[in-house]
Parts: sequence; structure tokens; C-alpha cells
Amino acid sequence: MKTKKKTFNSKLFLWITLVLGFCLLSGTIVLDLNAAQSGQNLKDILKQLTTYKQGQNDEIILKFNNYIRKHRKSPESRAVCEEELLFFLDSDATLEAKMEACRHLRIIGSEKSVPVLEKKLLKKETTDMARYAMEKIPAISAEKALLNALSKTRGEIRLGLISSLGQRKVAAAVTPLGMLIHGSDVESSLAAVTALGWIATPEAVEVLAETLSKSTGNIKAQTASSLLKCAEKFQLQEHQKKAAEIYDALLSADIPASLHRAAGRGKILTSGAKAGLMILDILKSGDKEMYTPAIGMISDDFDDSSLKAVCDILPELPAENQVQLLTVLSRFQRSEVLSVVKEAVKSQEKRVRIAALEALGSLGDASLVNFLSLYAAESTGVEQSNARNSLGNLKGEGVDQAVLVGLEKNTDSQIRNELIRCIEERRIKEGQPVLFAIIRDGEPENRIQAIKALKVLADLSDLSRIINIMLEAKTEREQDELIVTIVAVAGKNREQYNRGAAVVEMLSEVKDVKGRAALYRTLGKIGDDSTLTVLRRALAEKNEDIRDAAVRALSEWPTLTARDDVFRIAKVSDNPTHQVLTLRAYIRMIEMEEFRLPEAAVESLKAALKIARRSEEKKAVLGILPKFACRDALELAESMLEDKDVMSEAQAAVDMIKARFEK
Amino acid sequence: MKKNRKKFNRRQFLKKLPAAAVGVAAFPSIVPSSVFGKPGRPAPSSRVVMAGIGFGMQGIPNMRNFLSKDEVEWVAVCDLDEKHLVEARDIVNIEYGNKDCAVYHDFRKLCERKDIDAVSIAVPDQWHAIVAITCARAGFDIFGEKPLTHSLVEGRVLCDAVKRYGRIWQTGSWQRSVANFHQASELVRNGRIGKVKKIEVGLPSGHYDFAGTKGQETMGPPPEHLDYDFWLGPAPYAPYCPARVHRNWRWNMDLGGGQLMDWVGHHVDIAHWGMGWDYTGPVEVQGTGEYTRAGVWNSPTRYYVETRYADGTPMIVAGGYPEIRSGTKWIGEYGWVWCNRGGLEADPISLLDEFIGPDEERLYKSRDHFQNFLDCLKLRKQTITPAEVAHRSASVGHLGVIAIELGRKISWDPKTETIKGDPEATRLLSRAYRKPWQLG
Repeated sequence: MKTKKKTFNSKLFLWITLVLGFCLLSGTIVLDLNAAQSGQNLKDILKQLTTYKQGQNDEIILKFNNYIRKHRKSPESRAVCEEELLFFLDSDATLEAKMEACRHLRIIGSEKSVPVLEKKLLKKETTDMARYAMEKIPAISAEKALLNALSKTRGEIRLGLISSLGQRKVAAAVTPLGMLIHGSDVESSLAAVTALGWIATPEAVEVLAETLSKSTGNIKAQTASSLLKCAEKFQLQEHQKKAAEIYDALLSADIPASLHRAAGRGKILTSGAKAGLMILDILKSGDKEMYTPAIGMISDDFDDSSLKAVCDILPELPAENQVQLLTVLSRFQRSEVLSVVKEAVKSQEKRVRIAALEALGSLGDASLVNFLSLYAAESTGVEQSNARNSLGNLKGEGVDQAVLVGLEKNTDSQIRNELIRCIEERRIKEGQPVLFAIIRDGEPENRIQAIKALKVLADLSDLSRIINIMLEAKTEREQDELIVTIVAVAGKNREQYNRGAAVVEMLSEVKDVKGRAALYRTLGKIGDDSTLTVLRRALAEKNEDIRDAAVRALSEWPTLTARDDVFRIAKVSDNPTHQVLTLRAYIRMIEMEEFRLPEAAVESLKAALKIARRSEEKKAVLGILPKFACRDALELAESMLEDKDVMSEAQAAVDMIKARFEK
Repeated sequence: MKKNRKKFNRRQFLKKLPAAAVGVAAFPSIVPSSVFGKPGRPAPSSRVVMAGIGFGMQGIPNMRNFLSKDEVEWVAVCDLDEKHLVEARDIVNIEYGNKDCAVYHDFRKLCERKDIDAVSIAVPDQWHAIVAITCARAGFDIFGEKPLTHSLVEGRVLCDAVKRYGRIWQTGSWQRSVANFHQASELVRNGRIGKVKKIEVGLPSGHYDFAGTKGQETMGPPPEHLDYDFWLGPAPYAPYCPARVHRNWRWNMDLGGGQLMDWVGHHVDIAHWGMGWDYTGPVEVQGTGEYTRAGVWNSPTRYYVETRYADGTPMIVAGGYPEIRSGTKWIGEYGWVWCNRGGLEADPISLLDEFIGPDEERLYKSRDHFQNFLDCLKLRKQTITPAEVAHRSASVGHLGVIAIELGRKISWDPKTETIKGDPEATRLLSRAYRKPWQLG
């Protein structure tokens, strides 16, 4: 091809253009010159394809596929391709090569392909490839060919033909397939019944209905399955009556439970306005097998009386079905539903209560705030979490207001906690002043809950206020919780190096040691790298408590930037607690750099080991050593095998490093 | 809990009993161990009896997830590869400390059991439809892997079957049960970026060697432990070679659909979720793909599929184009939201602090994909990724494959699920099955 392109002279190109232009202008049907040329090229490719065997000369497939993909766009070149492929199918090419041709005939094959493919339908080796193409060729002759072949074969070849007739929905196949049903070959019978389900004409239904009454076992079950498909097709075609007849026949037949349930479902679907009554009848019938499908059919367009009746029947159902019905009912925003669901929360069955509580979240409104907050306060486990979720999910105007009013009026601290939690869950911004008031004057239990809620509700503008509250916290627990809240709120600052600014600012105002220590601790948890200098200065302060707070803050630093700080302290500190805290922090920080050059990380870990005074820290080093698997890491771990305090950890590290090497 | 299970398994329990008591405890041997309540576990009536089909790759982690749930009683495993079967069986037996797990070679035999509530299916794509439809008809609820099916027509048939038999279906598109995907989709759904102008979905490219069999394409007899002909099932016959089978079958277009089909059920699924397109699909699809490799791994290594939905919104689905970032990105009037595994970004960044209130459109919330399936199974409630939803995301991939193959734009009617005015493309909506297999 490349040579041709290179030698393609411009005069010839001009000629071709002129001829093509003339033909197009004159409106004549042009023989596609390119296609003709392509045909010749295709011949070359097909020649090479003749001996194709998978795994041996695969490159030819790429050439072949690319060629056909390129040349099947116009009807003329497509026809040329088809002709060549059909010729190829009759050649002595390998079966694998012929299959590749059939892949393309699946797309471009026309009526012309049918006679060639038809010959291949009856041979075990070629029937699948022939059907692969023929099943998709939109020609009556293809259907006839499949039908003709059906009567001439048996066994697996026949099964394949039946499958194709079914997929093509060949109406003319109904009679021959019907004859196969009652033959001695069970596999063919099953396949024929299946195919008739796809064909789904009234004639096919007739055959299937007769089979249903006469057959047993697998054939009966497959027949029922096919009839269900036929009924669905009728439903789609608005032939509800015909579909209903099929469902009736199935409901009175002895068929497996799953098929029976499907028929029941179909029957309800075809009952139109009577569907509601039918569901009620089923739910009252005692036929428990049908309860689940019936409940699943309760539809959004149920009229009020049907819905009311369904609600009334809820307590009579088995618990399992009550749960299902409650789930369905949660879709209906109607008052009669709400009251029955609320009643179900009192059920003796825990699973019913759980389902009812969940449903309330979808159904309820402001009137449920007190009910749900009380329930959440008095329950535990899934019931409590469902009550809480539902409280958070209640829709409609007035819910947030009801929560705030509830909080104001309730004195029970458990219920108040639930309402505070709800303020957080629903992000009730108007509740923020109430939260601050509770933190200031509320019960201890509620204060903690309110502090937690502020993590979500407060924003940067509240930070100084919360820091002040923290400094005056009534208990250590509250102060700890407030620090967590400050860290969360500071984290909302998108400017990473400004998150600690409010705390630093406060440090300039606060003089007492306790308060300053708390602020340093807070800085350590925020981890704004730009505030590290503040902590470094604190390390030099005379007051021991301040120094202690600074060391602890650095030990908690969440980023790598404090690595050198903690290492320096670990190396020189004569305070054993500080030495341990900072050394642990150093090891943790090394671990954080997982993509560091392993040898460099190992070097840092060696340094940590040198200053480690206890086996705990040595073990910590060995624990992370395999993360930096390299020759140095292995040597370091091996060098510790003799240390009796850590020998088993060293051995584990050696094994893991070696395993990583192998991987 | 696990320790309790092992301590009190039935056989060990019987061994420990004094001789006189054994007589009392000597129940008929046909009573399955599942009827014996174990300490701290749900009573048999609230247990979910499960089995698994296909353990070559995703089947094992899926099963382990289910085994971690106390309410699950795993009773059987099924696979066409003896090695996989033994591995799966041993996991179950070790978990329960007994030898009760039944093994099946043929999924149809498994489907004859009456005591099974649900199955987890993780078989190669060419098998998805047949196995799942058989299980649905048997009355099993199903946890099935994505893509839903190997062809578009199969997808519709499978959805209809699931609906017909009233089955609960969960697709392995687990990203919906992860917080960042949920948050991203909810932001988009609630108009936080305004009207969406464009969606970009970045998927992987190339062929990842999952099984270490890359290049092992010398044809030969299959190993004795694998029933290869059965394994091929409805796919066109092809001789055995290691590169074709376990884990890497997905790179062969007769068995899988390459990276596009492997991932469409994840990131396109999320794109649909954000847009509220769970029950529809594109109206136009065109694409290009690079078939760079001859041989068994013949799926496109790089692809670019452009779709357009009924409201005019375009969605690009591409693999191997760095400008289309991996994951799902919705670009709207007021900004964009992007999410991927472990990542959620937005512009403006303040979007990430947005709260979706109770009166807005809150999307289905699940934080445990497997538990969601079990919960829904009991409540007979739709899961977070039901079959229809999976079918719609897979449809985008199927149509992309067709458009790439034909090299032209395809018009698709998502309501009737038909290709408009292109009979050739229509032919590619399904494949003829190899004998003796038939779509049920």
C-alpha cells in the first residue's frame, strides 16, 4: 500500500477525480472504483487469512478487521466485501479464519449470504459460526434457512437452531417447535418451549398453554416461564385480557413457587382499577406465599379507600410482611398512612418497630419531632439510630422550628441531647445561639453534646468565641471536646497556613499558664505549619508547664514538617516522657512519607533506633521497616535478630521485607 | 463472634458431648447445620442463606464480605474450575469451622436447591445473563457483578426477569455506597453547580494483567481442573490458552468488553446518579477506539466515546486521554464537581461544605454495599444499584462499543431501547449463542 501511495502520480489522481466528479454530476450509478480496488486488496488479505490459527498469525486479524471496518461504509464496497467473504467461506480456509469472516457477515451479511451460510448450518464444526452471522441477517430467506435446517438435524446443532429461531422471533417456527416439544429429546423440548416464549405470538401461546396442561417437571416449569414472557408481551401491546388469561392459567397450574408468584404479580398488573382489591384479597387469603409479591405491587396510584384498607390490614400480617408493607407505605405522604405507621412503632416485634421508625422519616412532619426525640432518647441500637435518622430526615415547613421549641420546653437532658443532635444533623443555623447558651449554662451532659454540634454548625467567624469558651471550660473533658471543635472549625479555613491564626492571636492576650498550655495543645492538633515557630519559641520558655505543652503539641503534629523538631527533642531531652513522646512522633512521621526513597527512610529509622531507650520504640521501628523494603532495611532488621527484646519483631520484619522482594 | 461460631459448630459440639447425650443430640443427618442457632447469631428465621457462583476473581472478596455478616449462612459454592471451587469451599468451611459447604460444578444444579435465599454471582461477562436469569427464576435474590450483561439485549431481558420474579438485585457498583461519590452526586443533583453543561468520565486504558498471563497465547489443551468448554458457554468457540481465561477474559471481546465495559458500571453509573439518569440513557453516541493488539486480548486499548442525552447534555467517556481525568466530573454553569476513588474536588471549593437539607433531593444512602443488599432483601426494598440502574450505565458502554465498531454516530431511543435508522448497528445489540446455550 505504501509503495502504491508513493508512486501515485498526480495525473492519475486528477483523472480519477474528474471521472468521479463527472459520474456524480451526471447522476449515474458509479461502480465504486475504490471498492473494486479494495476487493483486490481484500483478496490478498483473505489469502493470508486462509491458514489463520489463533495464537500463531494474529496480526492478519488486525489487518483484516481494519480493512473491513474501513470498507463497509458504502453499500457498494460492502457488497464487494460480502462477496469476497462468502467466497472465502467456501474455501479450504481454517475454521478459525472462517469464524472471523462470519463476525463481519453478522454486520454486513445480506440475502446473498444466506445460501452459503445455510450449507454450514448442518455441520457441527460450522453451525455456530453460520448462526452467528445468520441470526442477524434481516432477510426472510435467513429464517427459512434456519427452519429448513431444523427438520434435518438433532442434538446440539438443533438446540442452536432453536435458539436462533427464538431470538429472531420467527412466527413460522411455532408449529415445528411445537412438534419438538413432545418428542423424546428432552433438551430439544426445553429449548423449543423457551424459543416459543420469545416468539410469543397467539399461536405460540396456544402451543405453550397446551404444553402446560400436559407436561410435568422441568418442561412444565420452562413452559410457565415462557408463558410469563408471552403475557408480558401482550401487556406491552395493551392486550390486558389475553395476558390475564395466561396468568389465570398459570395460577391454577402446579408450577414452582417462584413462577406462581410471578403469575400472581402479573395478574395484579393486568387488573387495572381492581388491582387494589385484588391485593387486599390476597393479603386476607392466608396464602402467605403470595403476600410478598402482592405487597410489592402496591402502586403509587392506589386510591384512598384501597390504601386505607391496606393500612388497616397491616397489624394482621406476619411480622415479615408488616416490615415489607411499612417499607412500601413509606412512599405515601398521607395522613391515614402516618397514623398506622406510628401505631406500628408500638409493635411487639422489634423488626416491625425498626421498619416503622424508618418509614416515619419519609412520612412525617413537624408533628413528629417530640415523638421521635422521645423515642430516640429512650431506645438503643438500631431503633435509636432509626429514630435519630428519621428526626433528621423529617420534611416540610416548621420542622426546624419544632426542634428549637422542643429544646426550649423540654427539661429531660436525654431528650434535649437528641434535639441538640438534630440541630447538628439538620444544620439548623438558627439553633447556634441556643447551643452557645447551653454550653454556657446548660446541664453538663447537654454542654458536651452542644460542643460537638458546634463542630458542624460553627464557622470561622465563631472561632474566637469558641476559643474563649475553651479557655474558661468548666471541666477538663469539656475543654478537650472544645479543642476538638476548634480544630474542626479551624480546618474549614481553606487557607492552610492560616488555620492556627486565631489561636496564635489569643496567645498574645492570654497570660495564665494553664490557658497558654491549652492553646499550645490546640495548635499541635490544628497542625498549621506556619505556627511551628510559635511552638519552637515556647520550648525555650522558662515555665516547665509551657515547655511541656509545647513538646506535647509537637508530638501530636499531624504533618511531616515537625520531624526535625521532634527528633531534636528526642535526642537531647532528659525528660523520659518527652523523649518517648517525641521519638514516637518521629517514627510516625517517617511512616507518613510512604513514597520516600526507601534507603533514606531506613537511614532516618536507624537514627531513631540509635536514640531509642526502650524496646517499645524499637518494635515500632521494626513494625514500619517493611514499608521501606530495600537492602538497607533488610540489613537493619537482620542486625536486630540477636536483640532478645525484639528478636521476634525483627524476624517478622525480615520475613515481610523478603516477601516484598519476592513480590 | 467468629470465635463463637467456631467453638459451637455442630460437629465439634457433638464430639464433646458425653455418649449418653449424643443420642439425644442425634438428629436425622438430613437436618442442615443452618437450622442450629449459634450463640449471638440471628435466629434461623432471620438468617439469609447464601451461595456463590464464580470464584475466579471478584467472587472471593464478595463472599468474604458476606461471610463477615452474622446474618449470612453460606451453604454452597459453584465454579467450573476445581481449584477455585476448593479455594472457595475451604474459605467457607474455615469460617464456620465445619465441612458443610456444598460444592457445585453446574449452576443449574445449584438452582434446584430450595433452601437458598440469595446468590452472589461473579462469572465472566458472557455468562452474566444466563446465570442470573436462571437464578432469578429459581427465586434467588442476587448480588451480581458489573457490567450487568454482555450485550444490550441481554440487559433488558435480565431486568425483565428480575422484575418478573420479584427479585432483589444489587450490582457490584459499590461506589454508590461510598461517601464521596454520594456527596458529589447529591451536590450535582441539587443544582449546586447550576445546569450541567458537560460530563467527563475518565476510565482506564490498555489491558491490565490481572492474572500474570499476559502473552500466554499458545493454544493448547485446557488444564484438567477447568471445564473449559462449559466455561466458554455461549461465547464463540475459541481454543484454550491461559491469557483467555481467568481474570483476563475481560480483554477479549467475546468474553468481556475491555476497560470500557469493565469500568462503565462504576464511573458512568456515578455520572448517571448525579444527573438523575438512572432510568434513561443517551440519545446519541459516537466514538473511536484503537484496536492496537492482535490476538486474544483484542479489546480497544484507548477509546473516546461522545454521548448526548435528551436534554442536550454531552457526556464524554474516555480511556487513555489524559485530558479526561480518571473518575467522574460534572461541569456546570457555576463550577464543577469531580470524584474518584478516594477523591472529591470541586470548584469553587466551598461547594464541598454545602449541606443538602431534608427538603432537598437526598440521594439513597448506603455505607455498606453488602449490608444494603441484605437489608433490602428482608424489606423487599430496592437496593442502591438495582438491575435497571446497572443496565442503564452498561448501555452507555454497549452503545460506545457499537459506535466504535461502526465508526459512526448512533441514534438511540432510551425509552424503547432501539437504535434508530441504523439496521447494521441494530444487529450488534446482541450475539448468537453457541450451542447448546439459549437465553431463557
